[in-house]
Amino acid sequence: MADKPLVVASLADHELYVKIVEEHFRVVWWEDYIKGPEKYNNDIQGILVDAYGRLKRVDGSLLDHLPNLKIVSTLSVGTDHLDLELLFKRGIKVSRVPDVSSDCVADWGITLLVGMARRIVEGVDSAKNPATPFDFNIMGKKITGSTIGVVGFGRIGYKIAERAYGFSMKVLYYDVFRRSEEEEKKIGATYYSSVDEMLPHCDFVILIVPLLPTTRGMIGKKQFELMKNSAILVNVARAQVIDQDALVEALKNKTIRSAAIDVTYPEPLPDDHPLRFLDNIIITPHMGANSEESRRGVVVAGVKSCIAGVKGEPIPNEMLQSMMY
Amino acid sequence: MGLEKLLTCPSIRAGEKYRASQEMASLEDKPMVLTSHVDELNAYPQIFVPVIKKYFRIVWWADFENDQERYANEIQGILVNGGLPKITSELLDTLPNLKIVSTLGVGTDHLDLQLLKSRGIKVSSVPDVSSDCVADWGMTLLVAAARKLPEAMKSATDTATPFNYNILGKKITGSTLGIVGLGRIGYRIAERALGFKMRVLYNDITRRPEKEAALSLEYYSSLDKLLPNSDFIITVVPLTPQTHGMMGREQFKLMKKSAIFINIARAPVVQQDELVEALQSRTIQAAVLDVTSPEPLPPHHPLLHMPNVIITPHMGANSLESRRGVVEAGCESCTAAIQGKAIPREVVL
Repeated sequence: MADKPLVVASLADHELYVKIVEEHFRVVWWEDYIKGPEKYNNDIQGILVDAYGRLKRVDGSLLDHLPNLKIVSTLSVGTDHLDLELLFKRGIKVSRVPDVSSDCVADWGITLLVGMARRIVEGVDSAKNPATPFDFNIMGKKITGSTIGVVGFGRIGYKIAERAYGFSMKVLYYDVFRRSEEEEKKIGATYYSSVDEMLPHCDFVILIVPLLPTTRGMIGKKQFELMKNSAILVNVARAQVIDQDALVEALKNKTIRSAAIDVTYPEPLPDDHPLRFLDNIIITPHMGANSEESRRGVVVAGVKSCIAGVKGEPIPNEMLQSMMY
Repeated sequence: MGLEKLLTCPSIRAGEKYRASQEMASLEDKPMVLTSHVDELNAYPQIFVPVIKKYFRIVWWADFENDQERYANEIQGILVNGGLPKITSELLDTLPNLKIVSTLGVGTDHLDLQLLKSRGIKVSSVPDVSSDCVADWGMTLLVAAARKLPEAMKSATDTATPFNYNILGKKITGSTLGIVGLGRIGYRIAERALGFKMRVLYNDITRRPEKEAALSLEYYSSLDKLLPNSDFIITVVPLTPQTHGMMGREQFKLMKKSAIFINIARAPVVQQDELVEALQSRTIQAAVLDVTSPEPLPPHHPLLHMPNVIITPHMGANSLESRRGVVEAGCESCTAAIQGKAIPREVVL
C-alpha cells in the first residue's frame, strides 16, 4: 500500500472510476482532501480531474500547496478548466484524453440533432404521458438532404460530418484549419473561413470547438440573426461558446427554430432559469462521452498517463505547451 | 358572402362576379372524393386540406353520412388517411361511380384488397415519398434509445429529477444493426447506420445482392440466426400473413440481453404481450415502438410505465415535406384513375 503513489482525485462519483484508480494509486478523494489538506499536500504526486467533479478549476489556489506534484491528468478532452500557463511554467506535466471518446461524442451530437429535428421528446410525452394528448401530427424538420454547418472540424467534428453524410446531408464546415481535399471529398464537405458566412446556408448548426478566447461567445445575437428562422442549433462543445442570454432571446422570439444543448452555465441551471421553460429546447446533462465503453476508456487512459507522469516516464496523450492554440 | 349569392347580387362589380364564377366553375369541374375528417391530433391537420382542394371537391365523412343521397353518385374516389374511412362492402354498395381507393400512406394492410378487386375498384398507395423521412425516424429512435435521450432531458430540465452526469448509454459506433426487411426504408436505414460505422446485417424474404454489395451488408436468410448477432434490431417489414407476429418470445430470447428492439413497421408484427414479458424479465435491454396495439395504448398498459420503453405516436413520416408529398401523391393517383389514365403508384391486385 505504501508503494503506491498518492494522488488527489476530483471525479464524478461513480463506481467505474473508483476501482480503476485505486488499483494503481492511493487516492484522496476531493471531498476528503478539503477537510484536511495539510495531511496530504506534501505527498501528492498527481491530480486526477474531470469535468464533473467538485474541483472546477486547477490553478494556483491548489497548485501552490503541492510541492511534489508531477502531473495533472484530466479525464476529458477539454483543458479549459486547467491553468495551463501556470502548469507549464512550473514544469508540471499535463495529460488529457483527446480521442477515446470522439466516436461517442459524435454519436451524441447527431442524437441531439435528429432528436430535436424530429421532436422525439414531445413524441414520447404525447404517447406516454396521460396528461398530454396522443397526437399523430407532430411534424418534425426534414433531415435527409438538409444542410449542416459544423463549427469546429477536429476529431469529433469530422466524425459528426461523417454521420451527417450518411443521412445525405450537405456538409459545410468552419475551422481555423482547413482539412485536406481528400478528407473534404470523402464527405462532400465545403469549407468556410468565416462562421458568419456559413450560418445563413445552414438548416442545422453544430458547435464542437474547444473553449478558447477566440471561441468564447462566438455564437451571439448577431449569429442568431444570420441563421435561418427554421434552423436548429446543437451544442456539444462548452456552454460559453454561446452567449446564453442571447440564446434565450433567440429561442423566445423564434429567431431560430430550436436548440439542443448538452452544456450550460452553470451546470446544472438554477431551477428558475428561462431555458428550462422553453418548449423549443432540449437540454441534457453533459453526456457526450457517456457510454460505458467510452467513460471506462477515458479513465483507463487518464490513469495510464498519470502513472507515467508520476514515474517520470514518457506520458501518453501528453499536452505540451506547443499544443495550446 | 357565398359564391352563389355574390353572382346574383346586383351591386357587385362585374370583375368580381367574373372571378367568382371562375372559382365556382373550377370547383364544379373538379371530381368529388370522399375522405375522413380534419382533426389536428387524430386525422388531417388543416394545412393539408388546400392540397386536396387543388384536385377535388371534398365530401367529408360526416357530411356523407348525413346526406348520402346527395353525394353518393358523384363520388369517384376515396382518400383513406389513418385507416379512415373504413372500406366495407356496405360502403362500396352506396357508391356506384367509385373508381379508386387511394390510401395516403405506405401500408395497405388496413384495406380488404380482395373485396376491392372483386368490385373492379383500383387501389393506390404511396410507398416511396416518405422513405427518407421514415428512415430518418428509424435512426432517430435507435440513437435516442441507445443514448437514453428522454431520460437525459428529464434529468436536466425537470426540477424534481436530479441532475445526473452518469446516465450511461449504449455504444452506437461500431455496434451491429440487424435490419428486418430491406425495402426502400430498410435500405436507407442501412445507409445511415453505415455513417455511424455500424456493422449492418439484414433479413428479408428476398435476398438483394446488389444492395448488399453496394453497402457491404451481410444477409441472413433466417431471422433466428440474425438476432443473436445484433446489438440493435429494427423491423421495417410490411404487415403480411408471414410477418404477422414474427417477433415473439422465441425471438426475444434469441436476442442479446443488451440488445435494443425498434419497431417502425406495424404493431402486429410484434407479439406485444410477449414483448412486455421480455422487457420485464430483462431478456432484452430496451424497446422502442412507433406503433402499438391499440393506438394509443390504454393508460394503464405496462408499456407506458416501463423506463426502458420508448413509445411514440406513429410519426415516422412526420415532416411537413413528407406528409404533404404523400397527400399530393395520393391525389395524383386518385385523379389519374378518375380520368381513366395510367395510375401512378397503383397497387396491383
